[in-house]
Amino acid sequence: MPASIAVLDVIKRFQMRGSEVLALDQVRLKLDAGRFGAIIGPSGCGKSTLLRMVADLFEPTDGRIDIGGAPPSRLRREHAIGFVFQSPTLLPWRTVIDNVRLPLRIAGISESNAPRKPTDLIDLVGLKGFEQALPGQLSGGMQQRAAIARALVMNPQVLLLDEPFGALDEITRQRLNTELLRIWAESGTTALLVTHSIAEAVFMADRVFVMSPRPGRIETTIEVDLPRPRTLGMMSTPSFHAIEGAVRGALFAHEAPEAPEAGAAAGAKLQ
Amino acid sequence: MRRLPVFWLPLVTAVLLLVVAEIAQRSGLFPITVAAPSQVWQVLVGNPRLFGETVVPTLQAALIGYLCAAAAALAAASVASLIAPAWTPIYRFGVALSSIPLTATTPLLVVWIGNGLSTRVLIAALASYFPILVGAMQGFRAFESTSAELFHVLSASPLQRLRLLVIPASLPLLFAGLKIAAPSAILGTILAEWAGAERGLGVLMIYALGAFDVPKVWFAVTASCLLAAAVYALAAAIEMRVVRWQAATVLED
Ligand SMILES: Nc1ncnc2c1ncn2[C@@H]1O[C@H](COP(=O)(O)OP(=O)(O)O)[C@@H](O)[C@H]1O
Ligand SMILES: [Mg+2]
Repeated sequence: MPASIAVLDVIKRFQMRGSEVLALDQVRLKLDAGRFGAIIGPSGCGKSTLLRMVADLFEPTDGRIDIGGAPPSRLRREHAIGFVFQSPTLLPWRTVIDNVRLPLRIAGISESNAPRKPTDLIDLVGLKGFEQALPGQLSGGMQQRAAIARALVMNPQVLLLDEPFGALDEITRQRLNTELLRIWAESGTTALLVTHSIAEAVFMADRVFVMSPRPGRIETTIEVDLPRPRTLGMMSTPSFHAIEGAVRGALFAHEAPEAPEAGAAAGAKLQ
Repeated sequence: MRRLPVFWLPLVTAVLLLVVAEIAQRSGLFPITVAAPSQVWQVLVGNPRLFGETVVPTLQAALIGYLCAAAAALAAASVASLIAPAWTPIYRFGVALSSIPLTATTPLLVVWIGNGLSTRVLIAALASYFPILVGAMQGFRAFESTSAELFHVLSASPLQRLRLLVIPASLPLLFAGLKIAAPSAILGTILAEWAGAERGLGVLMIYALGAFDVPKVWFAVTASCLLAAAVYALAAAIEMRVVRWQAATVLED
C-alpha cells in the first residue's frame, strides 16, 4: 500500500569542524499516496540530505517527517522503503538476481512469500536473461535497472530515487525515465525523485518541489497536470513548455532582474 | 587459448635454463660450487628419507605458524574494526612486531623456549602476521559507503551487515595479505631452523654448508624457493575459487 509523505518544517544543520552549516531551512513538502513527486534544485541545495532523512538515514535537527502517519524509522524497520542511489550500489560478488533478492534475504522472507517475485521484476526492468550475470558484466544503465528492481522487491510504500540516472547519457536517461514511469504506474507506490533537470522533473512528476540554493528551502510547489501515461511527444507541447517555464522561473526567482533581460538580449542578437 | 602462454612461457624458460645449466656445468664452464641440475635431482632421489626429513617438517611448522598468524590477525582486525579507538594501537603494534628483525629475535626465542616445534611455529607466525593484519584491516573497511547506507535503509542487523557486506567486500584485500604472508612463513621457519632444530630445510642448509656438500646446498636452496612459490600459488588458487567476481569482464548494452 502506498503511503503519503509529509515533511514538516524540517531544519538540518551539519557540524563541520566546530562550525555549523545550515543545509535545510524550514522545508515543507506534501505528497499524496501513490503520486510521483520531483525535487529539483541547484547542486548543494540539500536535495540528497532531504531524501536521506525521508529514508531515515539520519534525523532532522528540527521538524518532523511523516510517512503514511508514521515516522520514517518505523517504515524502515518494516522494510517498506525502497531507495535508489545515484550509483547502482550493487554488491559486485552477487549475481543480478541475488542482488534483487538481497532485501528479501535481509527481511528474512522466503522467495515464495516475496511481495514481488524477483524474476518478474527482472523481467519488468528489462533484464531477462541477465539473472546470473555479475554486476561488473553489465553497463551502467543495466546496473541501475537492477537497482530499481531491488528497490521494488519488498513492494515498498515509498520509492525514493536520488538522481538515479544522473551518471548516464541523455539518450539512455530519457529511455530509462520512460521505463521508470511505466514501472512506477504498475507498482502503484509513492515515488519521490531528486533531479537537477527541469525537463525530467516535469516529465516525471505530478508535483515538482523547487528548492532554493543554500540553505535549501522549498521555493515553490508546482502541479503538473499533464495526463498519464506521459509520452515523449508531450515534451514538445505548449502546456509542457509552460510548466517548464514556471519551474525555471521559480529556480531563478532570486536572480529575476538580470536573467530575463540577458535572455532577451541573446534572442535579439540571434535575429 | 589466451591463458596458455601465461602458464607455458615460464615453464619453457625454466626447462631451457636447466638444460643450459646442465650443459655448462658438465663442460666445466661453472665453478665446482655450482651443482648441475641432475646432481641436485640425485640428492632427492638418492635419499628416500630426505624429503620427509627436510621439506615436510619445514612445511608443517610453516603451515601451523601461518594458520596461527591468520587467526590472530583476523581476530585483531575484527576488534580494530568493531572498536574505533583500538584501530591505531593494533596497527602500531603490528608495525612494531614486523619492524623487529627476526634474525635478532630468533636466537632469543630459541634460548627462551628451546628449539622445539613451538619456536619454529612462533617465528613463522611472526613472519606472516603483519601482511595478513594489514590485508584484513584494510579489507574490513573496503566496502563502499553507499553500500553501508543501503544496508541501513534495508534495516539489516549488524550480523547481516558483517556476513553479507563487510566480509565479502574484504576478500580481495584479505587474500592479497594472505598471499604475501605465505612465503614469509616458509622463510621464517627456515630462519628458525638455522638457529637450532633437529630436522628441516634450514638444518640441511647448515649441515650441507659445513660438509661442503655442494649438491645438498643447492637442493636445500632450490627446495626452499619452490616451497615458497608453492604456498603462494596455493593461496592464489584458493583466492581464485573464492573471489571469482573480481575477474568479471565488461559488457556493453
Ligand atoms: N554529512 C555531512 N556533513 C556535513 N555537511 C554535509 C553532509 N552532507 C551534506 N552536507 C552539506 O549539505 C549541503 C547539501 O548537500 P546535499 O544534500 O548533498 O546537496 P544536493 O544533493 O542538493 O547536491 C551541502 O552544502 C553539503 O556540503
Ligand atoms: Mg545530491
